[in-house]
Amino acid sequence: MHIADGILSGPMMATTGVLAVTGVAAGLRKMDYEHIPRVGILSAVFFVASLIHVPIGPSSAHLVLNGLTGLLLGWCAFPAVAAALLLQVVLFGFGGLTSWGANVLNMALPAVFCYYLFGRGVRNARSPLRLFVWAAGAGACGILLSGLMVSGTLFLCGREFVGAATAILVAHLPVMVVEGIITGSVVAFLHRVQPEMLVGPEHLTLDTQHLETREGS
Amino acid sequence: MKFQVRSHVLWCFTCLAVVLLCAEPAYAHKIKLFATAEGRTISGYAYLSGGGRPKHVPIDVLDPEGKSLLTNVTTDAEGRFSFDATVRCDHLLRIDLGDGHMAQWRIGADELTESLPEAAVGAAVVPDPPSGRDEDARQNDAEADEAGHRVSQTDVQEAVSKAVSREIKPLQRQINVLREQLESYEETIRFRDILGGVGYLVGLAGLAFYFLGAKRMKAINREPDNLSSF
Repeated sequence: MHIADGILSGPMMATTGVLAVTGVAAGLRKMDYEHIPRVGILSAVFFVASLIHVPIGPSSAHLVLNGLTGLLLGWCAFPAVAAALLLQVVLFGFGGLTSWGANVLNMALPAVFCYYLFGRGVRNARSPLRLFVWAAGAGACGILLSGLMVSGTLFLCGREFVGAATAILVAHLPVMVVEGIITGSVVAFLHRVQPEMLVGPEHLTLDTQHLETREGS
Repeated sequence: MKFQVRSHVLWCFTCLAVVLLCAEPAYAHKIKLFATAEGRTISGYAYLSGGGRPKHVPIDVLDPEGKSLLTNVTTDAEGRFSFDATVRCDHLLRIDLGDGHMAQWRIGADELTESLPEAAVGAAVVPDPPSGRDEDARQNDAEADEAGHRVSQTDVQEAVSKAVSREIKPLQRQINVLREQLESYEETIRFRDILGGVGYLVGLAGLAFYFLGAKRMKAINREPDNLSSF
């Protein structure tokens, strides 16, 4: 899912870099004080997720968890994914520095899509089963859209789209299943333990009685 | 909806600890290429660090600048490949899985046998063998022919060269194994890498807390009577 160095052409690197930075800026503008712990923890989860391999036949794919990230963060998924991806390049050697922009777009944009497609379903779910299903859908959809975007990026670099898309999506089918299950379970758990985490960033308001203020009211 | 920042942060830290404990050191998810040259044969294999070999994947063999294709070869069911070089120049091997994973390996010209032509294919140039040695050998051959029983210089040279390359073979094999182990070692992701990365994220979150908190406090101080709107 991570595109390595040496595959993208110069103009593509520049365009994707600019678009990624724009996305990150948009995410930072929407981020507020209350969102920071959530953004931090999901960034760390995304960072570590790529180390978890899902063995499929000869090679193996790794978890991405961008569906979960998008579901809980909305546009704030961009800064979370961008920071985690940069650290993955520098510390693990996943992807590449020149393809950082493309990788951010390919993973964060599907995350934001999942937020809009599945967010309302998750928030208004009337039973734990529905909640699980909606969240699992978000998890699987995140991988699906990322796979399509990676194929699109490679197509723009001169590779054949259908072949690459089939290869990537087939290779990631088990990942879609696993991610769906994980996202569903995590969201169901959060719903029981800390339902505030499921509230979309735009709908959060702060109850100041729990904040210590100057007046101590 | 009520929102308690303190319990939220505490809960996030618990998750972080769980995440860290669950992340066992793994291998970088990359494709890697490895090749050596023996005589005029270049052989090697491709592997995914973390296990697995790419089967029946084409490998491009390019010229030293990486621009023109010299030949191509396909990995077998074990990820291995082998082909004969025709020119004594740097060979750039490139494997591309087509899903964003790519690896390269360069075989130096000096790893190939000297009997290969140096220039590009088309301008067939046969390199001159070191003339001094040949003359001595011819002289000794002449002497040997006269003597009849003496072993000729070239025979000795050939025998020595054969014996040396026979002795070196196990060493070369061990060096190849070492090279692969070294590559593997470099690719291992250690717990300290994970800890470092998460540490950076905690630091970034801290910076965000500072800046957004300062902004929030400034806004609160400007309108101290209107707390419920923040």
